[in-house]
Amino acid sequence: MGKTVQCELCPNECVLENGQHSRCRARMNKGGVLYSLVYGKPCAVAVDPIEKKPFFHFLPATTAFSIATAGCVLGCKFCQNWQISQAKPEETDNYNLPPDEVVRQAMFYNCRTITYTYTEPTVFYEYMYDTARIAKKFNIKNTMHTCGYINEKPLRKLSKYMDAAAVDLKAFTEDFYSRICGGRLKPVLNSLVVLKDEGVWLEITNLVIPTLNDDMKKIKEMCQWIIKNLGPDVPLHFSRFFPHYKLKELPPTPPETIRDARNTAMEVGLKYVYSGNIRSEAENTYCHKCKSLLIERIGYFVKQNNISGGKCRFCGVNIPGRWS
Amino acid sequence: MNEKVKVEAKVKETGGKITRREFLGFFLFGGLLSLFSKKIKPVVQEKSKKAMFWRKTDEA
Repeated sequence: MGKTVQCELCPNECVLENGQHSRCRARMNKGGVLYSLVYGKPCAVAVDPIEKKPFFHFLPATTAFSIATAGCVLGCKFCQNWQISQAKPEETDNYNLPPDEVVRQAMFYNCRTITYTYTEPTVFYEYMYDTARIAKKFNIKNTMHTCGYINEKPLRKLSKYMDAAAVDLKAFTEDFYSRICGGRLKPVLNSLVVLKDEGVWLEITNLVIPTLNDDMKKIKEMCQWIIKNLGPDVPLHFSRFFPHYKLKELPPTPPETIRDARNTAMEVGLKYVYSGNIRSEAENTYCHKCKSLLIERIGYFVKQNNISGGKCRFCGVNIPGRWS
Repeated sequence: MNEKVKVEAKVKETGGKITRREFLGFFLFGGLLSLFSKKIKPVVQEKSKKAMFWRKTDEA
C-alpha cells in the first residue's frame, strides 16, 4: 500500500506500481520511490558538427559533444535510432560517464556545445539537467534535439540552462501523432511556445513522409501556426524520409515534395526554410533582406560564412540566431 | 649419464613445438574462458539516481 507513484515528467504521466518500469523504459518505481535508470550511463557518445542536429543558426561550423541514453517517450514507426530509443537501459552497451566527466570530455575535444540527442533527452532529464548546470559554469553551451514531448514545469526548469533546442514537429495532426508516434500533438506545440517564451533558441524539423504527412494544406497550416506563435525568424528544416524501421514499405520522399513544402513555408512568410537529407542550395542560408548568400553548406560542412557580428556582411541587417 | 643426454636431446628436438593434442586442449580452454568472461560481468555497486518530477499517488 502507498507504493504507487506517478511520473510527471512527460505527458505520458505513467502510473507505476512498485517494481514497474515507465513507458520510456528509463525510470522505475523501487519501493515507492521513482528512480532514473540511465543517470550517467550514455549508450551513445560522439563529437558531431552542430549542423547535424540540425542547427543552422547556432554557432555554425563548431562541434557538439553529443550524448544519449536508452529509451524514448514516444514510439515513432520511422525512428532512425530505434535500436537504442526502443531499448531498455540494460539492453544497450553503456559508458560510465557522470556529468562532470561529460563536461571534461567536451572541453578535451574542444566542443563549444554539449548536445543531448539521438534518443529523446527527456528520458535522461536528471542526467541532462546536472550536466547542463556544470557545463554552464565552464561556458559550454547546452543544446538538445527533442520531440518536445515534455511537461511544462520540467521544461521551464531545464530552460534556464538550455541555450538552444532543435524540436521535431513530426506532423500537424493529432491523428499522425496518435497512430504513428503513440503520442499527442498539443503538448509538443505547448513545448515550442514555452521554449520561445524562455528565450531558448529554436529550430524546427519536419520529416516529410509520403502519404502520411505530406499534405501541403497541413504543411501550410503548420507554417502559419509557427509564424503566429513563434514568429517568422524560426528556422524550419524539411527533412527527406527514407524507408526505415516499421515504415519500410513506403518510398523515399520525392525531392519535389520537399521543394514544394519549402516553397509553401516561404510563401506563408517564414524567412529561413531548409531542406534536409537532400543535397541542394536549400541547405544554404540566404539573407532575408538582400537575398545574398550568407552561409554556404555542403551537407554538414560549412564552405563559407558571410555573417559577421550577427549581421549580413552585405546589407548589415541582423540575422536571427546565436552566432558567437 | 646416458639417460640424461637422451632427455636433453628430446627437448631440443621438439624445439618448443606443441602436439596436436596440446593445441586442441589450449584452443578449447581459451574458447571456454572467453565464453565465461562474457557471461560474468563485474558486480558494481551502482547508486540509483532519484528521479525528479513524480509524486506518490496516495498524496493529495
